[in-house]
Amino acid sequence: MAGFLALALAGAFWHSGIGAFSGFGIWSVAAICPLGFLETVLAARSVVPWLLVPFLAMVIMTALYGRVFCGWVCPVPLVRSWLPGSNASPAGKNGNHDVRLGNGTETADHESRAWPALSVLAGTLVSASVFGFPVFCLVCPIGLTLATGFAAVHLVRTGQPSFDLMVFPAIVIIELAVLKKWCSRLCPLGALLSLFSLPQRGLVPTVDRTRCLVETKGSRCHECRKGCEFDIDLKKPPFEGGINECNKCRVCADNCPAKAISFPWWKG
Amino acid sequence: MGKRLKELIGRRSLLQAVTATGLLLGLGGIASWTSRRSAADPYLVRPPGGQDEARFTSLCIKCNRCTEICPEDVIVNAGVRDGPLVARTPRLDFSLGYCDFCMDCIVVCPTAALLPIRKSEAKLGIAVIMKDRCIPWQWGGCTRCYEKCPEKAIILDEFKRPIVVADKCNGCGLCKLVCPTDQLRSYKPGQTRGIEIERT
Repeated sequence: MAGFLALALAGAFWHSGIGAFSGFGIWSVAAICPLGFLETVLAARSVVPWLLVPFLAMVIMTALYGRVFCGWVCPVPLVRSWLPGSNASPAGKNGNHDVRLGNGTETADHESRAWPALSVLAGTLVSASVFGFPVFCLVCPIGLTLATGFAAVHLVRTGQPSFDLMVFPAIVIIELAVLKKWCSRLCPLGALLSLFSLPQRGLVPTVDRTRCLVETKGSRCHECRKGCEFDIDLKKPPFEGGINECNKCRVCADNCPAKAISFPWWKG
Repeated sequence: MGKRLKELIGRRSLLQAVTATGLLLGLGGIASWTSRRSAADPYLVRPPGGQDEARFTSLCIKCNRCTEICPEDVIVNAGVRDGPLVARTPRLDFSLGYCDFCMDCIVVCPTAALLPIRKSEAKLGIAVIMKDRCIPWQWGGCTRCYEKCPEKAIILDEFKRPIVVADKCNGCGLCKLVCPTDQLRSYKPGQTRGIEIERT
């Protein structure tokens, strides 16, 4: 994450034209933020045909490898880790997490947990089409994090200070400090990528049932789920524990006392 | 069927969807309401290909790529003072550079918010002499913009005062870049130079 952020900022400094993550690329070859693309389609009420190529590339990548962007490129988890009280997300959960073994009710819980983010996604698309410009982009923490960096680059290059350097980070900090579960509960881009990643086959966290303590020793270990930001239960039958939301952060694999979790490149 | 649908989309999630949509609609409303003055700012000049303002704002995803690639450093990101709707979108700051129509910005634009155009048909804006600041219109002596204009769009009247030929001007901004009012008349407050580029 820090690497991608540094690359974007260095690019801004040296005329590279790499850009923010909404349109990362070199010359005419660029990735595109799939949410931003849908917003512009609805806002302009027209599709630029060749933009379907990077958009579909993003869709296919996510369909194969899931929300890799969220765990490895997006700067939001990094920024949140700089904010005070950020350790609360995994550790704070330990206190009130109800350790239940799978009993069916949690699947229903999980479906309802996805709704807020899907709601924000719906709101993003509706507002873009109503007002004719990408409304969510105004408050997108990814865009504002990058914009803060770009404002800093502008200050260094031209010596012109601006309010942007205070306003943009302030919005990001307010969003991430107040809405602590941004990534798992509210982010519309995350919700969109979760939909695309339903058929994912690569980098799916897989429990080796011959090593898992729950299976082998009948213990009530739930270390993998405790650390997971998305509260994914890996021991549920495949794809029922909301595994499409997994951002490949590998916290579960690191937490597992039996080292039973792996992220194979391809799961048949 | 109705019951299943109700189970799938419970009352709570429907409420969440309505709330989220409402909040974002409110945000969009506030943004466009507070930005209506700045969006009409006559000095908000866009990079080449972005002259249709409504089309441009609906497509720009604020990726910073045109700003970065510009070899003349004339493209800057608009700030929050330009209004929430305009903030982070590219604008041309002719006190930093001018447009040489290399069209690199159009090449890197990932959403075609900047439409490909030919240099001959490009018209970013139009130069306007600020007669209360322009040195020759006040006293005389300066002919910098007349000398530098690559389009020969500035002519001199009988008192050697510059006049813009609107048809020839393509809004490249070199006249403003070389205009010395901000140094020679720096005692007069304000950032306006003796010649400014207005959006057409």
